[in-house]
Amino acid sequence: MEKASQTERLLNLVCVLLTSELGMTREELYDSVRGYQQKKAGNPDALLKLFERDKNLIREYGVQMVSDIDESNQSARYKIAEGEFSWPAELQLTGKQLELLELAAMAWSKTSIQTWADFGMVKMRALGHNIEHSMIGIAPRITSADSNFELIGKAIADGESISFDYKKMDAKDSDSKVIQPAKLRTIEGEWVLLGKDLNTNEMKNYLLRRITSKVETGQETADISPDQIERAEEELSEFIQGNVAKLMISENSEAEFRYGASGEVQTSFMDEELFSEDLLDLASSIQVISPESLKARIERAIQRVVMDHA
Amino acid sequence: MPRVLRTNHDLFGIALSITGYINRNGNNVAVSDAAEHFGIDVKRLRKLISTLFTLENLSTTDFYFDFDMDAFDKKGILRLNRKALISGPPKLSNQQASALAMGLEYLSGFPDFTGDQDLLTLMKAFGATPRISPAKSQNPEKLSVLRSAIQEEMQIESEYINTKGERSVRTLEPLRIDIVNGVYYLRAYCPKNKAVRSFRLDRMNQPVQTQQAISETARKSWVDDEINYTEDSEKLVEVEVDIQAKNFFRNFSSPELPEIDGETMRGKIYTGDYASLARHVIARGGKVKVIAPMQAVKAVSQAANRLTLSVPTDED
Repeated sequence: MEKASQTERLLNLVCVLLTSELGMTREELYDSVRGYQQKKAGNPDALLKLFERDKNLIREYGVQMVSDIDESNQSARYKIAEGEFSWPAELQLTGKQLELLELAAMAWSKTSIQTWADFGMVKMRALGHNIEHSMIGIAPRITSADSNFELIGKAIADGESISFDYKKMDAKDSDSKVIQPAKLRTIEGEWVLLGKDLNTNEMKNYLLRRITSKVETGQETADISPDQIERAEEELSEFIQGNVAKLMISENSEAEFRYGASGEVQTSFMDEELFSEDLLDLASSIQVISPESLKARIERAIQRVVMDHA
Repeated sequence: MPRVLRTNHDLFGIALSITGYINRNGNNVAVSDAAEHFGIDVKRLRKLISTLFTLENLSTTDFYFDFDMDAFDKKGILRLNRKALISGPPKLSNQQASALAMGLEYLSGFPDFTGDQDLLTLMKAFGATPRISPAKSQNPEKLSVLRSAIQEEMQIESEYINTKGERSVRTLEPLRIDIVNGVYYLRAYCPKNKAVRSFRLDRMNQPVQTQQAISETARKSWVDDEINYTEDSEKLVEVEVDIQAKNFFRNFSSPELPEIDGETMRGKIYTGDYASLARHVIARGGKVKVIAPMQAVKAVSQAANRLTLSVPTDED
């Protein structure tokens, strides 16, 4: 008999478990799944290792294979959690929606989160017709030089809390934080974490670049409601709108290309230090009129570069 | 286009999802459409369907998937003779849903996608919320010209200011627009440099599509995901970077990972010219220090000193 491939073995395992009402022990699975039965006469340790590996692969793919008692017990009965294979029948995705999901998954290419996005995308494809290709030539990508980025992304997906050291703008020392992370997003080109501070119970935003230690995951968790997220997003939006700078932009300059205008221009910003970096990048064609604090920050920054390289 | 899926794991995922796809498409799908939809070739799809068709519980001798193999082979149609064990695709795991939700949120921050009803519907389904603050704004007309040129495979002309501040009118053969962490780059074949190069959109002015189609060389060019290439002429520079400015390294290629010592990172980067290096150093406002070579240190010093002259003071 032809040797069962890994794909065949995994599929067989899922199907056998799906048809079992009471769940099945490891031994019963060995008897029912061709890939295992073929190896049953061989080394039992090797077979156990293979079974353990398959369980992990199936779970990694997102199939909720559960057991009634501790899995180290030989009489543990395995089954697939109820409702695992049912989407609302009316749920149908358009070709355009599938294309958007493709782009969303593509954004994670070359990160460890790509595997989740790709596996998810295979399932989503089954919910739609043909994928549209109206956005040919657009390649969104999420990259981060920050080693904490993927740790935080995983903690969000797993609902775990995290702890890290954080240095606020202009602070001399870092503070320790324990956070229930809710969202990671880019604002003005910077990655910002929205999360609940577990010491104060307040929703706060944290710039990833200001995290000065390795992020660790923790046991303590807290619920965050969609309302809390929405409110925190609105507050940040209001904060940004309230931070207004007046700039003088030289005519026919790179700053004019970027801001789309020359002369006096008014713009809002999220964080004075980050914004000053944007302005320093264009320092030869842009001057700050207000606020004074921003103007002074830029002058100090230039002086510091001069001193550091004297 | 769907990505090419090759691993056993990918095939496992497709196998679990394909009967749901067939059911949702009236149990009658062209084999070629199904293959394209899941990003595999017809031969591989045939093998996968055949595997599903022969799956059996050895204890009960139950079969789970009764495909019409005759219709597959003779009519190019994928269908089931009777209801399959798996009639819908598996649900997403938390991690999968979260990865797609974050990707959708990322898209929603770009002007191309803001207000897109399909995107908003998806975001609602995934529990994601639209981005409150858009990415650095881009002129929608600029994007529209570039996208149209890419789709029609035509060259463009645009005014461009490079990192040294040099202004020129460039003819480019556009291939792709990359949106990397909120920054737009045109990836284009540059006939002047005879290579694919990255051009920040915010340094381009008034691009126009020409009547000239892109060359065969451009069409066949491989666009790497890496924005910063190292060229033979590039010089190695040693830098010391405050950990808060670690994204400085993202702008350059490096021969090795920087060393971390407390809140300071020390590393080496390649740069094509010291003037553009100086610009990146100045933009970090004192959080990056060039250590060596001395010519690079001097270039930063000179550039910063020039700026002190242009910083306005309140003196009469």
